Amino acid sequence: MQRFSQLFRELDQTTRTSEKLAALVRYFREADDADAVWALHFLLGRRGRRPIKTTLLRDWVAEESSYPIWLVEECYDKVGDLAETLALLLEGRHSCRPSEGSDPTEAIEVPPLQETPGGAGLSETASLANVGGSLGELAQPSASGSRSQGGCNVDAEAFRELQRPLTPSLSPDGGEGVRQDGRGAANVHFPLTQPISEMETFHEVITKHLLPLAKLSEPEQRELLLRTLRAHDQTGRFLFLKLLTGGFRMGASKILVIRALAEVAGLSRAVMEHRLMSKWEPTAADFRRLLDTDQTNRDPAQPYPFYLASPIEQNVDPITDLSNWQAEWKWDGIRAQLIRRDGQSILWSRGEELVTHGYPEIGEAAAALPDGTVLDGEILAWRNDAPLPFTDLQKRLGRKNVSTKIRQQVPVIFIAYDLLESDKTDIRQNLLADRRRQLETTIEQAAKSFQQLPSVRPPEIQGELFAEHKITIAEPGFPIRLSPLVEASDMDALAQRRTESRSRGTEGIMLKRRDSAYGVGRERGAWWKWKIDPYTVDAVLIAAQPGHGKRAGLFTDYTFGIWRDDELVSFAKAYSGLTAEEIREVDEWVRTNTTGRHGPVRTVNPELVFELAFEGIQESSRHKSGIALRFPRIARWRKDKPVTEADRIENLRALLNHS
Amino acid sequence: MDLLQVTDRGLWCQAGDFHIDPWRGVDRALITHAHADHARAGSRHYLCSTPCAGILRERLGQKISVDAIPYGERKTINGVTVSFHPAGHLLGAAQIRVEHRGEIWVVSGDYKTQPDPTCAPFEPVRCNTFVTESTFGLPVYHWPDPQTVIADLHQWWQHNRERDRTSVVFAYSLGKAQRILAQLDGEAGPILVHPAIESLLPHYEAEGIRFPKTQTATRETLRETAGKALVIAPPAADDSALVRAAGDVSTAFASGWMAVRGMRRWRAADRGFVMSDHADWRGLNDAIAATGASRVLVTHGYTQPMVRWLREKGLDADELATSFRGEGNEE
Repeated sequence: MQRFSQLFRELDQTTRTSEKLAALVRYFREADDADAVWALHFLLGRRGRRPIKTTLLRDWVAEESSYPIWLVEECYDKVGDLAETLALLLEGRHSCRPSEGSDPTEAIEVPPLQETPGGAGLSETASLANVGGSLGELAQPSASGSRSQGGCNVDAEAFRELQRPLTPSLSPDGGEGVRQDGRGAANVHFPLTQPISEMETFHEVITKHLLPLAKLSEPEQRELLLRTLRAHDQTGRFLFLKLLTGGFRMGASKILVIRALAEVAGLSRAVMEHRLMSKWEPTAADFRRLLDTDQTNRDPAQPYPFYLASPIEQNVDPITDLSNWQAEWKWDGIRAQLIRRDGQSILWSRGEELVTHGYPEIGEAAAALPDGTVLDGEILAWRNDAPLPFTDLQKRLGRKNVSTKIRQQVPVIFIAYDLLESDKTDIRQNLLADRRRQLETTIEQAAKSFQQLPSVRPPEIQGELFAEHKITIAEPGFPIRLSPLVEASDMDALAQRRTESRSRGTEGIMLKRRDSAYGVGRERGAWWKWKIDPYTVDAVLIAAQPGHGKRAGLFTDYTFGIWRDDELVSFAKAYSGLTAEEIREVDEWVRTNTTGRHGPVRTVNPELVFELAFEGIQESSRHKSGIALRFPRIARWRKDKPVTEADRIENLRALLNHS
Repeated sequence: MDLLQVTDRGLWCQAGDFHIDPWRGVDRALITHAHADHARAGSRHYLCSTPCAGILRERLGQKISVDAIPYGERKTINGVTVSFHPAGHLLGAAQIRVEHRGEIWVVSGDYKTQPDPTCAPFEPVRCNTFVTESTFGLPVYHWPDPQTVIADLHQWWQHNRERDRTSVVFAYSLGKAQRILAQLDGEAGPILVHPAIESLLPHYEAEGIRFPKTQTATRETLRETAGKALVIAPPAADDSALVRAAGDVSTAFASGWMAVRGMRRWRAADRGFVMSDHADWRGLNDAIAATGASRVLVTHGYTQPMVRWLREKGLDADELATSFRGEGNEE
């Protein structure tokens, strides 16, 4: 556990990516495989079932620290992380162990008001000697550390509780408290009889103290949990609670963890990502397998780096003559790379995240592509030959299991706009004009062979998840399409066509040089995106709630209202767009202008006006206003605008027909 | 009628016709301490503790009319007895005791119960009504031993020196900065202080506080000492050109808010040292208990949970609505 705690501190005590990466690499090299694999498991955010219900956890820590539940809740609102809240509450209690030789109860002495008000004695300042040990010691600034916090006046009870031996039913000899259902009995007995030592390794802590919790009855869970918590220091308690509550994604992004592991293994990041997508368990053997360099020479899953377009700013127009440029719609979906190699279909999103399993219809269709083909394109929700709003596509994000129902509700297609590999050859250096011609031929032929695919044949998708699926195509036709070209004679004509973007469900126009190779990353010059301007609306802040994680304890999640007759109705939530200074200013304003509390949400005086930018608008039952914005964010704080000049709902509803 | 009541100008004693820490100009202002949200310009006469007077003038201007009395000394204003008692918050910070016809109120201002070598320790004063702050009035706030924190800070400084990196600590310019500085090892490396902090040092030295040798943080000194120095700067200097002149830096905040991880990450500093000039949860509870007050009025901070907690403990507690709000966030 010590080495893992050290890793956590190293990650937590720097904001530099290079140092975090170095700390992770050191850890993966130094730690035992059996420990490292658990660290990997948690750092990647993988989680099992929560062994203890959150409410029970909260209640037990409240009891252990002897604070009322409402106060624990209040603290959670401020801290924004359950594990951290509980660890901090326990820290306040546990650190209050009295120093040697002093009875905790003696520190409680409080000077009583000996006389009634008006009595002579009262006008005397209480001398330090009168107020008991704790404050008395504070009189000497030199008084050293351990007791400088003051006494334990409210904690004598809690402290005794800490020293109390475990109840007999759970003591090593008495097995009555242990469930005898045969399933977990043997395992259960084991952890409770093991003394918890600081020297315990990370995987021992997990396998002996964390995992067994799930198999215990509630009273047994409570005993084992509190015992574990008492045995650890502050960092250990926090980490244990964090592991217990799940979602251990702290101080290092998933990408960074994968980079570190790739570095340790001497493999590329994409290959490591792909390996991590395969089945592995937190065992030492699987960890060694993940790091094994002898598996293959070339991993068929290896994608090419994505080439990214640069934005055309309003007044900086890099293109005057359109003749050497190819124009396409800028699709509002998920940028992706579709690979067909070695009889496998692999779909990568731009974040180099494997998303094959999330969009089985695309992987199935890719079986119609010749082996050794790599397409660059966009995943889109699609119906009746037009894109569905991004909000529909969102319903398919992050799904592990894709039901037939969701496939029919939100059909997806892959719209291809470039060909990176053809006939097993990297053709990225060919000119775009040539790649485009080849792309058109490839898709045309694949569409033909797709028609001949037996529709019930189990798709050849990497992994076994889809073996039981029958192919059901909700959207007729081949779900791999060609991104059409936008024809225009010159820039003015193109600007005119760009105005069609919204009605076509696109974000604007892409411009690509016909004589360019496929670049890497954000190389400027050959690919430009010419986005349509966002809509804006002036809205009134009507409620706020504290953010989580990095913004914990600050009111950063805002609800906005808009006028409907004489009433402000909620219509949007936004979390971003303000500077750190503005966030603090609004936070303080919210605290002094609260009109009501509803759980963590505070309603506030309707006084602040913000300009929100957004990309589109839809009917919605989620907000009182009956509309919802797509990607709303704060464009600026309109300190100049009075509330009365905020926008009216009619103005927004008028947009419904256009977007 | 309460001995002290809140008006639109601040906390007012009708019997003595004076205000405590008024937020608008008044005739006679009693000042608990020189932080901007407690000591505001515009009043005709100021009364504060002796060690506070120099700093008050430094902040509000040399021309203000200030009377100062030593801690513990009584003064009668229109038949009301007032005295100043150490609050442990920073140099000169006082709790103000107000007594009239046998009733005693103590206005704590801001206070802490932890040791601080730059000011007199918090002194519990018995009273009927205690006005307490609640900046950190939740049980998640629990301060570590300040000596451990200073040791951690030295260790961080050394770690940075070994990597040829300048260490920059952001700390409130009045109080926190001096408290840290007084505990630094001057032999460990060059110590640079921001001019806003430096200008206050003579007032501390006049009260017998010793500091290690320092240099003013300027572009030149920062460049000369780059990779070795520890720089103390106010939080507002975060990202300023001055700090950038130091080249490769590691940054840290020294504040009670650093006890919460989300706050540390939001500040985007490399390190957060948990060091506050306010009382933590235990400190607040200890201090309130030590006054023996039966009535507690809670002001700036987590007033609502604190009031509810004290009521559940059987005290007559209420919220005191004031406009003190400043350094809670700067802290």
